[in-house]
Amino acid sequence: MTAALTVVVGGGGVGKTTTSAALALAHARRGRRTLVVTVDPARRLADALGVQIGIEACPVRIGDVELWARMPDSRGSVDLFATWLFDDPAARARVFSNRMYAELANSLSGVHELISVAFIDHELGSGRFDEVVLDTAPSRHALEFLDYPARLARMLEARTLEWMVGLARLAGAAVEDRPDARGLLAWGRQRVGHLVSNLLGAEAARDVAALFGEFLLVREKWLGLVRNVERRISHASTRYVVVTGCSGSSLDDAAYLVAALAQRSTRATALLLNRAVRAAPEWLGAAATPGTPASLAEAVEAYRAEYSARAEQTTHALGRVRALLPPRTEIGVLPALKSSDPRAILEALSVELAALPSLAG
Amino acid sequence: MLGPSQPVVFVTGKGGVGKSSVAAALARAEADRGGRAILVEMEEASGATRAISAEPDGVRVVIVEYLEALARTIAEMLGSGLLAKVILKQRALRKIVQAVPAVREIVALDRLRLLRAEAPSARVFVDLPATGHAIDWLRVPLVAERFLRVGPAARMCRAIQDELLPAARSGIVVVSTAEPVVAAETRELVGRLGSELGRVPDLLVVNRVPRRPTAEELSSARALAGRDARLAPLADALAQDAELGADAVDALASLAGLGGARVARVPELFRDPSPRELARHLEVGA
Repeated sequence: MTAALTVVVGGGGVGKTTTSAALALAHARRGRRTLVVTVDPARRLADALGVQIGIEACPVRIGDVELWARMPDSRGSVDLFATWLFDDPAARARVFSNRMYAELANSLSGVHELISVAFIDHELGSGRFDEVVLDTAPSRHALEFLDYPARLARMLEARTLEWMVGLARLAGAAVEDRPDARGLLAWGRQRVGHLVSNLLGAEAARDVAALFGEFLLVREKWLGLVRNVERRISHASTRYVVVTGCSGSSLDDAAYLVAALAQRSTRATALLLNRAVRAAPEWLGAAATPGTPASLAEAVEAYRAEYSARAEQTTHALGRVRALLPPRTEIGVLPALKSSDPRAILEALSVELAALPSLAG
Repeated sequence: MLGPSQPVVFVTGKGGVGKSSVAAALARAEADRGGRAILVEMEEASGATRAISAEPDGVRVVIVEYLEALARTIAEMLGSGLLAKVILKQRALRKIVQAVPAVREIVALDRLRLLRAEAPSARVFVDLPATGHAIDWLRVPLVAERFLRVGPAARMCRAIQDELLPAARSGIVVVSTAEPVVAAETRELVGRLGSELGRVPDLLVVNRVPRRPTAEELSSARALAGRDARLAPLADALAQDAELGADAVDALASLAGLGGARVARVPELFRDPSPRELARHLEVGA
C-alpha cells in the first residue's frame, strides 16, 4: 500500500508552504501518518512548523498529533541521491570526482527539484506514510519538475547517447561501447560534435560526456524511477492543489497552473483562494460612530480603507477563480489570518482545510 | 534619479514580494523622465508585463524566450546564424539543452548582454525569476566559466561577467517585505550577494510595510472597550497589529543599511498599485 500524494502549487508569496503544512496537519488529525516535503530552499516550512527540519524525514509534534517533515536541500541531499543512483562504488567515485558534478551539481536550478522527486518516490513506497504533501517551488515551473526525470530520460535515448559518445571521442575521452559511426547522418553529427566540442572546450566536453556515460550505465534504474513518477503523478489518488492569493499576479499564476494541469490530462482537485476578506467585520461599524474619540479616528479610517480594499480585491478574485475553474474542482476560500505566531495560523488553516471534502476525504 | 543609475538594473527578491511591480515602476519612472526604458522578463513569468500594462507608454517590454536566446548566443559565438541553425536542428542537442541545468540562465543573461549592445542608450530593467535564490542567476556565468575554463562558451561567460555584472554596469535592487521570515531571507540574499559576487544592493525596497498602531491608540481603544463591549474587537485588532507592527519595525531595522544599500519603504496598500503610484511611493519612502 503506497501513500496518497498531494502536490501543492502556486505563485510566490501566496502562503503555499503554510497551506501545505496545514493540510498535512489536517491529515495527521484524521489519524493518517503524514509527511510534508518542501522543495523550496526557503526555510518557510521550518518556520511554519517552528522546528529545524533537515534532509531526512523528522518528526514534528503539533498539539497532540505528530507529523513528519523533510526538506531536501543542500549539497548533502545531492550526494545522497547520487549515492542511491550509482550503487557501484567505482562509478560513484568517478561521478563524485567529475568536475561537472563537483562544480555544478549543487548550484544549478533543476537539481533540487530532481532529487525531491526521487525522495518522494522513495517515501511514497516506503510504507511509512499514508499521506505525502509536497510543497513545490513558488513558480510556474512547479509542475515541470515532475516531468524532469522523464526529460532527462529522453536524453538517455540511444540517438542522444550515440551523439554524446561521438562528442566524448572527439574530446578524447575513453568511452567504451562505441557505436560505429557510419553514413551521412553520422558524418553530419560528427561535424556538429566538432563544433560543440570547440564551443565548450575539450576538457569541459570530456567531463560532460563522461558524466553522460555514467548516466547511461544506470539508465535502467533511472527509467524505473521515471516510470514510478509517471505512474504516481497520473494516479487517481494523487491530488493537485492550486493556491492563490487575491492579487492579479498570483491569479495569473493560478490560471497558468490550472491550464498546465489540464494539459497534463489531470486537473486541479482544489483551488484555494488564500487570505480572502469577504466583508468588513461588524465591530468596524460600531467603531465608526461619532462617539469614537478623535484619537482613534485615524486607526478606524485605516481599518475601513484596509477592509474595503481587501473585500473588493477578494470579490474580484473570486469572480476570476470561478471563471477559470474546471468542472469538479472544489473552491476553498481561506480567511486572511493575522497573527505573529505562525503555529496559530497553521492550526486555524488546518481546521478550514479539514472542512473541504476534496482534500480531507 | 529613482533607483540605481547603471544602464542595467536587476530586480531580485523572493517570490510574492512585489518584485515585478517594482521593476515596472522603475521602468515607468525612467520613461517618464524622458529616458528609453526596456522592461525584461523571462518567458515563464508575466508579472512585469501585467504591471506595466496599466501605464505602458514608452516602455518597451522584452520577454526572453530561452530557445531563441540560445540560437542567438550560438550564432554570436560561431559568427554564423546558419551554423547555429544547423546545431539547433539536432533534435538530440535540443533535448540536452532543455534538460541541462544553467543553460537557460546563461543564454538569458547573454540575451541581455546583446540587448545592451543593440540599444546602448536605453536602460534595461530586469525582473529576475523568483525560483530559489535569484542570486543563482547571477552566479551562473561565474560557476560555468570555472567549469568550462577555455573555449568560446567560457569566453561568453567571461563577457557576461565583464559587461553585465560589475557594479559600474548593473545596479541591483532587492525587494523584501517587513515580515520577519521574508526579512531573514533577504538578509541571507544580501549576504550571499556580498560574499559570492562581491556586490551590495544599490537599493533595498521594503514593500507593504504595515501601519503600526500608536501607544495612544492602544490605550484609548482599551478604555473605549471597557465602556462599550462591542468595541472590544477594535482593541484586539489594534493589539494584534501592534505586535505585527513591532515585528515589522524589527525587520526593517535589521534590513536598514544592509551592505550600505539605500532603503525605500512602501506602505501596505492592500491592492496592486499602478507603476506610477508605486514609483511615487519609492521616491517618498527613500
